[in-house]
Amino acid sequence: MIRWLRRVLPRWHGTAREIEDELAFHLEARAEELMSRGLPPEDARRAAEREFGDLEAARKELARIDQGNAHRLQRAELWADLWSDLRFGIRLLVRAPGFSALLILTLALAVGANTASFTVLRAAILRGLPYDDPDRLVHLWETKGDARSEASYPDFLDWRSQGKSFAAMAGYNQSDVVVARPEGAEVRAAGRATPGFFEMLGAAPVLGRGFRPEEDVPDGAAVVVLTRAYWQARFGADPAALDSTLILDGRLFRIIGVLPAGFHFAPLGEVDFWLTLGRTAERRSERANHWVNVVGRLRDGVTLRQAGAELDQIMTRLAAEYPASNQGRQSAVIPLRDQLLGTVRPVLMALFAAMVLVLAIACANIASLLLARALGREQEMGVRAALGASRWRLARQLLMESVLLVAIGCLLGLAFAHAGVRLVVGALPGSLLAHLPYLRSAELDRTVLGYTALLATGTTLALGLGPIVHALKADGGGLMGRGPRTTAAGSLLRLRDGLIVAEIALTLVLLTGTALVGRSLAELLRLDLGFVPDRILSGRISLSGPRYQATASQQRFFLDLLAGIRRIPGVTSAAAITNLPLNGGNTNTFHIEGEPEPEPSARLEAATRAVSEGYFPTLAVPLVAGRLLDTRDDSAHRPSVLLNASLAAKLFPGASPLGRRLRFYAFPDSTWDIAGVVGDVRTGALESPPPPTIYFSHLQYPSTRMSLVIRSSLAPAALTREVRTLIRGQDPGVPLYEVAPLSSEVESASAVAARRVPLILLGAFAAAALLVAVVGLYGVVSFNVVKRSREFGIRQALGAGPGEIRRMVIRQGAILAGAGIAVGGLLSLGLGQALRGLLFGIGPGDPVALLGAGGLLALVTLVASYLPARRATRIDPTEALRSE
Amino acid sequence: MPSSLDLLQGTLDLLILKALAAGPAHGYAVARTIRTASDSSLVVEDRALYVALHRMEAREWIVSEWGLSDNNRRAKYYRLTPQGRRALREKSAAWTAYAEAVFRVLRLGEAQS
Repeated sequence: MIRWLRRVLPRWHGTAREIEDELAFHLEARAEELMSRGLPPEDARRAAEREFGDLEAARKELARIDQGNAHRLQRAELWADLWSDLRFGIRLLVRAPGFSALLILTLALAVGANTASFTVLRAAILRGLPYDDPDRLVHLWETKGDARSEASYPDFLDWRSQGKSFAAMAGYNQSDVVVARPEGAEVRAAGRATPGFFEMLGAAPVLGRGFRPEEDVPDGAAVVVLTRAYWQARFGADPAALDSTLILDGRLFRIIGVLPAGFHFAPLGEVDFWLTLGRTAERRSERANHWVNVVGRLRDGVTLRQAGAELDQIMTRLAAEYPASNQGRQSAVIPLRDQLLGTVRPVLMALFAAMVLVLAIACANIASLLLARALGREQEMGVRAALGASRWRLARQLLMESVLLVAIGCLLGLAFAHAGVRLVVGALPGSLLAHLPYLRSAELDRTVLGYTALLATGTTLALGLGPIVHALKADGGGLMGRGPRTTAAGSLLRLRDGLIVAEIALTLVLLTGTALVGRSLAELLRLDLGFVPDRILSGRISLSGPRYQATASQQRFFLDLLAGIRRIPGVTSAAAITNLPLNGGNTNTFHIEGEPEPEPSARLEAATRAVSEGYFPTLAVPLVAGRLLDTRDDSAHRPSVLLNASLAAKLFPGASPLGRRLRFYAFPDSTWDIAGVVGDVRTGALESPPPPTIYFSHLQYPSTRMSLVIRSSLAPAALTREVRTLIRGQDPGVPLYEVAPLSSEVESASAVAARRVPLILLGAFAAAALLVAVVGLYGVVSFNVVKRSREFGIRQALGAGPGEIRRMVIRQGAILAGAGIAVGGLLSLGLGQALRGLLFGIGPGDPVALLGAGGLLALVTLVASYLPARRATRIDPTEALRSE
Repeated sequence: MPSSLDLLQGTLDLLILKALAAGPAHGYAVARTIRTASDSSLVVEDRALYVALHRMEAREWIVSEWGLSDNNRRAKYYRLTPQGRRALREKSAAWTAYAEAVFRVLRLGEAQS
């Protein structure tokens, strides 16, 4: 800059002076000519000036032209300089392609990871919710002690009528609805809302209208508001859809409105259309029945705290008035944003912090590598300085090198980020995404690009600084005589050693975390499910409407359908159950006939499922004792049940349960014979041991909703088509949904998903950190090899073998790596505790995970030190000595 | 008025380029060449001449450097660049074509009268 100014300033000063000289020369020359013709000097001078014209105006005009000219020249020169610097930078990068590629890759990885996590963070946290004035929206809960619950409908009505802190309040809920369509019925998710819900969010229907107060009635008015997406998909966005009808759960609904495009109420996940709140008059009158989700908009100027205090007052009054239902119940007011992000926010924040750390470390590493190379080039710089290149010019050339590195690295990093965001969003389970819809729209938009640009600028400066400071210290003559020096950088080097230790420690922590979660996931997937899910397709059937009021018609439907499916060529067996394994379901309390009646709180309880004939053979669940249930276990025969093995062992230790009778408190009029015992199946959550389970025959314990399980050699799509055809033949109004291979139940089990996401994140970060750490260590060791090349040369000349030199170099790397691994190992133990909730089947100090991660890191760091060590042994002693 | 100024400007550039075609010269020499070559029939204001010189320098038709004049005084010499030579060729061709066209029209008028 200074040199640039110095070069420029004389020119500016010069222009006025030069113009003056030029004009003076002209006037004198002309005057002389006139004098030679005999004019007196004074007259000649005046005549020359007169001929010239307005001298002052000419000066100004010429100065203006020359100045523009000078600017243009400077610009041209600057561009030419930059161009040559750029070419110089490219030459530097190309001269060591492997080295440059390593730097660029590291940088790209760090920038990519950083940008990706920023994108996710921004989409999830920083971007506003897509509602009007979203910061004034709150979610309201009833509380009892620490437990939160929905509000009862009467409580909600009281809140709405008495709460003065709220400009608006509305209730919502969700339910699955059977939609009848010409090509067959389907099950869709419907939102349910009170009048004013859309208007409160600022999402009033763009076509038609929302719900009216008179439509908020028991069982709901038969009106429906479509989402824009469903309107598009089902009606091709035809405005004529308004006032036409949909058949929902066998009832005719009039379409009264269409919501704005992109409207999505996150707490509900994905829904296709909205109905009124509904529920029976009885449910709507019970204060003890909590089922209404409540959102409100705070009045302007009202704080969260004031609103909460007012709501608590209302709850206190209600508790006094209705002690039976409301005793001890209070309320909670939560900002809608927190409601949505509650558990995810700290994870994302931690993720982002880790990424910033990784980038910082990557920068430190690359900077030290560049510094190492700058040291190697010291002599070249000295020569250039001696030949007249200014320090500024040298520094600029070095900076250009970092600019190039950062530019390429950032572009590549953006590509990584793009892929990374897809990866992360893709790794999140659909159920989580539906509640964090903004993640799905996470994209590299202008703000993110701006962030990356900022990152790039900071990185460039951070990278360029070391070599620049070094180059500015380079003084031509002094340097050429001396070898590489590092005294001034001593403290910087120690800092860098510290950084390396820290990053190796961090890497180990991330690696251990990955190993722990990975091992847990492997343990989960290795669990004995109690059944064999291979080649089984499942799908759910829901019977609704007047046709299936009678239990006989429900049972007939399933019997006929199963018989039809068993006739499909390629199907080995088919059966049905009320709830698939791993999905949870009902429990019932019961009593063993002949045993003393226990206290109500000590009643026996077991999961209960109704199955069709052939369920256990289809899933390859073994029969342990007695017999299985079949079509003879119907209303004409004695009610019979099967127990799972662990329940049988618990209730009748050492004795046969066969022939004993159970009575269920839910239907006290009948007793049930224990007909057999079957193997344990994980009917609840994957990670929980098989719960005590009792199986009924669906002919004695009817159900409108059952899941089919079909073992076959057919492709799922072909089999699904066949089954749908059968169902349409029996009743086109019956939907088949949730069609999936049974094995996907294992994959999508929440226990698996809950570990898969952190596993992918931890794994990705661990990989990034590992690479960065390796590059860093490699850089440090290489740096020292360069620094000590003369020493190594001398040692070799004095007879030191390559093994000795290699050991010297590797020892240095090993000390740093060892320190890092020691620190990281201690931190990992802490991390294991923090991850306890995610662990399964292993302890937080799992030796396999700890030793595996530590061993991998030790091995990799050894390689990173070995490469420069090998180079050190190849130093030519004469060359090293001559280079002085 | 503006059009005649433009014409004058363009013509002046052409005259200067032509004057410099023989070799580097300072501003005063250019003025003298134009005056003597046209037998003083073309009178160019010196100020306009220098403005034109500096403009052409900005346009990179000519470059300048300081040198010594015949009587050993410091003078600013102008020299044609390759672009300047090209401009001279194009301008003189255009000007000649233009002048010939005007002449033809004028002669046509004389013949009829």
